[in-house]
Amino acid sequence: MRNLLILTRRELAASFSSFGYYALLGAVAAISGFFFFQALEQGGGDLRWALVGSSGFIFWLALILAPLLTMRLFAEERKSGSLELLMTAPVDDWEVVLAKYLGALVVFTTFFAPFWLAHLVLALFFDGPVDWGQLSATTLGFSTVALIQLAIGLMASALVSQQLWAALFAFLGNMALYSLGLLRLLCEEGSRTWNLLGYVDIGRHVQTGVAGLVDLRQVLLQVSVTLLLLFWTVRIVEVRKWR
Amino acid sequence: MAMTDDRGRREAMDRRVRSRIATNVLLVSLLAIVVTIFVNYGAWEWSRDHDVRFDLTRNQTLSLAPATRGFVRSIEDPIEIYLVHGIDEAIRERARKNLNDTGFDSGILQNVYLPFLDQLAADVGAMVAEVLELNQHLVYRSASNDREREEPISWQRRLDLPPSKFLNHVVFYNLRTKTKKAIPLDRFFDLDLGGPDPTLGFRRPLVRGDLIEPNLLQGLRAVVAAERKKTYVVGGHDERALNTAVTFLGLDRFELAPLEAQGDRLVIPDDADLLLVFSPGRAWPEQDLRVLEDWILAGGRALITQGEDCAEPFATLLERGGAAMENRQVGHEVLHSRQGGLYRLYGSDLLRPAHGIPHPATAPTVAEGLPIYLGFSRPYHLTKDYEKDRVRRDVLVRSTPGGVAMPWIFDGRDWRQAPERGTELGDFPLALAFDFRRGDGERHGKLAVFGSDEWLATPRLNQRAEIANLDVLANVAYWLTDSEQMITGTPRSFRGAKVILSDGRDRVFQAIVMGVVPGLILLGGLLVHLMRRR
Repeated sequence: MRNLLILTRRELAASFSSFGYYALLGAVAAISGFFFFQALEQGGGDLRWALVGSSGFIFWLALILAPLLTMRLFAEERKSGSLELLMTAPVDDWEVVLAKYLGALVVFTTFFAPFWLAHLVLALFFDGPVDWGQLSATTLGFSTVALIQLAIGLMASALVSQQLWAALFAFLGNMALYSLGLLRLLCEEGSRTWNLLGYVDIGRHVQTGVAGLVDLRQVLLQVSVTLLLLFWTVRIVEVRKWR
Repeated sequence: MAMTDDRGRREAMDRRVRSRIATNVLLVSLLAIVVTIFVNYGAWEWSRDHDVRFDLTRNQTLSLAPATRGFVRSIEDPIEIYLVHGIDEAIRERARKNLNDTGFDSGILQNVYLPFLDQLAADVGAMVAEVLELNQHLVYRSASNDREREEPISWQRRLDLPPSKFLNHVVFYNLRTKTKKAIPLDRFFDLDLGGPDPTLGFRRPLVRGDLIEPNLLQGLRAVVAAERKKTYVVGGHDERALNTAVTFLGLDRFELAPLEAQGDRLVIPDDADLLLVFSPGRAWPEQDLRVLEDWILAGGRALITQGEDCAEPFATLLERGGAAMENRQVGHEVLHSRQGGLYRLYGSDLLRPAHGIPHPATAPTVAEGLPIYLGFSRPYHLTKDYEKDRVRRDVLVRSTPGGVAMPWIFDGRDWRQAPERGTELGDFPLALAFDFRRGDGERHGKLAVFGSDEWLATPRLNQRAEIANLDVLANVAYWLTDSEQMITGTPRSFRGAKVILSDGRDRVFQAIVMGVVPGLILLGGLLVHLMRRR
């Protein structure tokens, strides 16, 4: 566990000490502020609708951000040679994988800060009746979906040597994940398969969160699939080490 | 040669070890996949009978009432719910002619109609999603008529409905019985169609309240096969016509029919499940009173209102429950004058349970703290002199201690002069429920009396009314007809959370979220960068 903490801190330090991270966060804050304000104005000042309206932006942000954050995790270390050093250190492979994953997850979650800040500003200075419950559910909804997205990204990064390929594979993987819900079009509406595909439809998971709901089945699905992906990533790292 | 053999053996061994590891990894991976699928499938199956969704919204916006959940789970028929929203040409044409009005088809509304409709449709969709979670026999289809053309057309053909009953309607369709029910989308909300919007600086439609759950319930009930309760509206004694209330019950599980006294004598049909008596304008003949009383004591059910113009006190019937209608009215010392002479009662303050146990007919409304609009109401005088072992008496509605009872029917004079004329302050029972018990296994008689009929008047029940009035009416009718399982307290007060960004405040907020916050983040990044270089 100590190794895990040290490695996670190393990952976080690498991100939080880079100007690139702040530049990206600043850009995201400006763009999300724009979308949030637009949605607020269109919804006649309705905060509930402002969140729903700007969720489309968060969706695309998550889809693009996850590959960006994970592409370098293994691919870059392999390119610079620091991965071999890390793998020969007295740490388990799963600790390395999990530390990289947790680091990416924490960094990803910080990109919600602009939304919370915007709500905080509204609550403190504009007497806005902010629904913190809905905002929390939205954050939780996107974060739990990000669990899988980041795990896919991490696996892609462990699989290939080039960052660009890793990002592309992660993006396509995430798109495929979102497309699962489209398979419903092939099924008879209301049938068992149709309902089951609705259950695994990640797009619906996001909608659930934005509406202000937490569905434990969806959380279970996301956590279990994430664990499966991380398990495979550890295996991939092991296999590559053996080569 | 020996070295080559040795290397070959090692390579063969390596291959064997590698293939064993690969097989091992493959098997473990397969096992992990199976476990993941098994766990999730088990959770999915388990969740069909258990609640696994938690509503974190401040007003529990998407939480369905327990009674609603029970009803939806009990539906066995396959039901499709359709919602196609958008502007149709007929509405657009009417809007051109009607530019400054504030009706549903007005020009003002049309200016912002589409985004507004999108919001309404999304709100309905969110609640339908909760309903669908409870029952897999239900299917929801929704589309915007202005963006998707093919599906709405095919749905309309399938349902065989005219555009006027399809577009901007929520349509419920029972696939087994082929029954349909279309409810206009605007009924799902308490709307102010031309309300001022300080944020935008022009008038736009506003949602003041949410009636989605009761309307969804009403639609589902209408298409689900169920026994309809035969309900007679008694006439012949100048009873008040409360058409909207009657229509509302007719849309629910009540089959309405008029019942006039025949040959000066009231004859209650054998199939009557419920009688509605709305404020008779003249006193009932003795024999009709006896017929009604005998019928109720023999297990009949009745809802009686006794408003301002009611000339019949039903004295002997009420006396059996130790109650008497008083010939005075209760108002509120502050509120009534502001409300145009009407008494606005707030559920949280006024719908108090009689003995600390909420009455089933009003308990949900009390729990929700919803306002109902009663109008001036006659109070009831209660005595302890009645057969308590044979009659259960409950107060359905009680005024606050701030209620003012005036010794006359409101005559338009200044109510503040009342103290000199015998005004009494206090909390007064304004509606009562009686349960006349009979022998074991025999059907009880039930009676609900309200000292007001204004709460059932059309202006109180239409879409701009206090949202709990319909709820109280339906719940009292359910209680009277032994359909307590249908009782819900579902209307919600305003579900939106608005922030007013007028007078340049919007620009300040815009500057903060788009300039100050990103700027501070970049500045922080720059500082970190400089510190690292040092």
